[in-house]
Amino acid sequence: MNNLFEYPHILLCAALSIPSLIFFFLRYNRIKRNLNAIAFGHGDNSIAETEGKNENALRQKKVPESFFPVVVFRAVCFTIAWVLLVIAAASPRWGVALTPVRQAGVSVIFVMDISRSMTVSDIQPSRLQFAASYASILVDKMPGAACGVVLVKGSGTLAVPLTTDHRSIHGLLETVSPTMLSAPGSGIADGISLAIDAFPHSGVESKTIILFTDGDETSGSLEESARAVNRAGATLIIVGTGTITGAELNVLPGADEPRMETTCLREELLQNLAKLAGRESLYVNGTDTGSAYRVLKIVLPQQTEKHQIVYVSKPIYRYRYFLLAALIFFCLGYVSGGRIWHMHD
Amino acid sequence: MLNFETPQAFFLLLLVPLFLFLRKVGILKRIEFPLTLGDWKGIPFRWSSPLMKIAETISRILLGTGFICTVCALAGPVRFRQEPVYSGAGTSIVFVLDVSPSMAARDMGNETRITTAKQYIHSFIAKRPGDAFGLVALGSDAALLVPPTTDHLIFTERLDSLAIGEMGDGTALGLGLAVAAAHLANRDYRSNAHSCIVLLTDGENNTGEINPKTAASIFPAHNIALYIVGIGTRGEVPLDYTDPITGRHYSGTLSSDYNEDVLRGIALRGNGTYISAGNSLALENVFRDIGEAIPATDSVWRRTVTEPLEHFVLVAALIFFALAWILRRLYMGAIL
Repeated sequence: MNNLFEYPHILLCAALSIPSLIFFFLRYNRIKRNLNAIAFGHGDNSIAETEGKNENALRQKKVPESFFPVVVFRAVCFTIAWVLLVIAAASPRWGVALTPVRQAGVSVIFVMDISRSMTVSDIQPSRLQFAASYASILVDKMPGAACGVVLVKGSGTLAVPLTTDHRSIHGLLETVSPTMLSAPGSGIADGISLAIDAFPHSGVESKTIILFTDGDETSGSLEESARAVNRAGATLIIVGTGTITGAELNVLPGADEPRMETTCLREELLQNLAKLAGRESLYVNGTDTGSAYRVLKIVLPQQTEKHQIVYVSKPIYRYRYFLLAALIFFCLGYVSGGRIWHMHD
Repeated sequence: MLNFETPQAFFLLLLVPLFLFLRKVGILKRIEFPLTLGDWKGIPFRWSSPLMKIAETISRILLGTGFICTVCALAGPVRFRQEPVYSGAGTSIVFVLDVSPSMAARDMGNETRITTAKQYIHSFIAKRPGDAFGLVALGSDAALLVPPTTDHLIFTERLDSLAIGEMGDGTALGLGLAVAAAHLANRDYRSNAHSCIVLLTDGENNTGEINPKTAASIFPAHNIALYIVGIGTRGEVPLDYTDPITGRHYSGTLSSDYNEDVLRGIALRGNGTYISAGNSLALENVFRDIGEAIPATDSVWRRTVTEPLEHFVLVAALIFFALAWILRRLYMGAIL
């Protein structure tokens, strides 16, 4: 739902049509009974009784037969118009259009998964230290690029904002460990959305998110965060850290009796994520020969030209369709009701 | 500048006079029928309440405005605005802020030295959207809290959260300058980028392993501009602060006396400038002078941002229609 509408909370206003319809039908039934009573002398006599007991007389014309269907028809038209108007106000969107954007420079956010599964040593010295060294090498190969670091464990935190001071990045990567954050779990989705927010709104640099993880996600929606990367005009590069066979991890470190579970690299999930992120997004296994070269090839070509034009996908807003339909039903309610009434009267 | 993507939609407003015309000529009719209530052979009852007439007029205005808003939204209202774009390859300024307990002295008007310094740093960075700012805190130790970044939100959040005594109760000026320099010295790859360190302190170096003059001496080689700002007055000043580590509250009088010549000497060694700011106005002037001396980063270019406004117009339309419904049904007693 959040994907389809920019302001999904507005849709709650559509629910107002339910009490209004209940109100309408209650009043409609009451008036119908009363008018019939006045016109034909049967039914509910409440009006006659309340309007003046026996002293009052009622002079009236017979209630035309078309009156009630016309009123119902108009009510239905206005209700549909209201619902369509609410949908339009919620800014529905689907499909994407490619928009040219001018870019200069490079900005990269490293998202480091520091969950406990990253301490496993199926690659030496451990998944986390391997990832930190890998990221350090990439930073060294990107002189002048603005880099930042997001740490994820349970939730995400922006540890280093975008900076050209690579010394700060190296300083953090040298000391990165699961003890830096206390929350349990992984929270990669949260980390990715934090990385998207860390890119400056008024910046012109290309936006690349390099995620180091074993894919052992325990919270959040990874698919949704990958789509958000695409919407933000960023590229997601996932560096898989670990092995397919995996290794055992004590999931109850504080308990008297350890409980060992196997944690392995979930390549299929990560490949799917990269696919969802679109653009030049890529999955590489960190242990593959030449994987760093493939990553740098995605990040660095954008540096060759001072300025370059790239195409980013932006959602297409469809509120006009709903608005036009709302106007048609609104006018239909007014015009048709009056016309039908005119013809039958 | 307000504009419309499909202004042809405004032709739909002609439906209003058309509707009124059709009513006038009798092609369309109101959904109503006469139901006269009155005493036998008496004057028929007429609904002529002035309040009802006002309500009728208001409801028509609300409906009409709602319709106009809907048509207006269909026309796609947008606002174009020019937005400067920065590449991040501009000036980097690192503030080295003394957070020793003496910075809690209340001699800058009604404010403490550190609060006043934070206020002027805030207004300084607000005027320089393209610059990168970093933050180093110094006490008996020093640490880089924020590396030079164009993410001003992160910078200001950390600046605001910085508390007196966070780095101990000494003043390690040399360490603070060295930490700041270490994170600016590697910017040599861009010859046109300006680097600057602004040290805000109220005391002399009394701890730390690095002599401030030694730290300052590396600045000229790396083309880093240095400004040392001495904050506060001399003599007895009121002091009031809570130690963030022990939670103990300190309140009393501080004998504020530091040797300006020492700070001037450090600035001289780093080819920098020493400025004394004894009160809030003087500190404001100091920041103005620094702002004039360090060129702000120019935008690379300006881009036109299209800001759609139809959502707000549609929400207004929904409100107008809802109000008209409430007025007509709940007050005027209409069925629909």
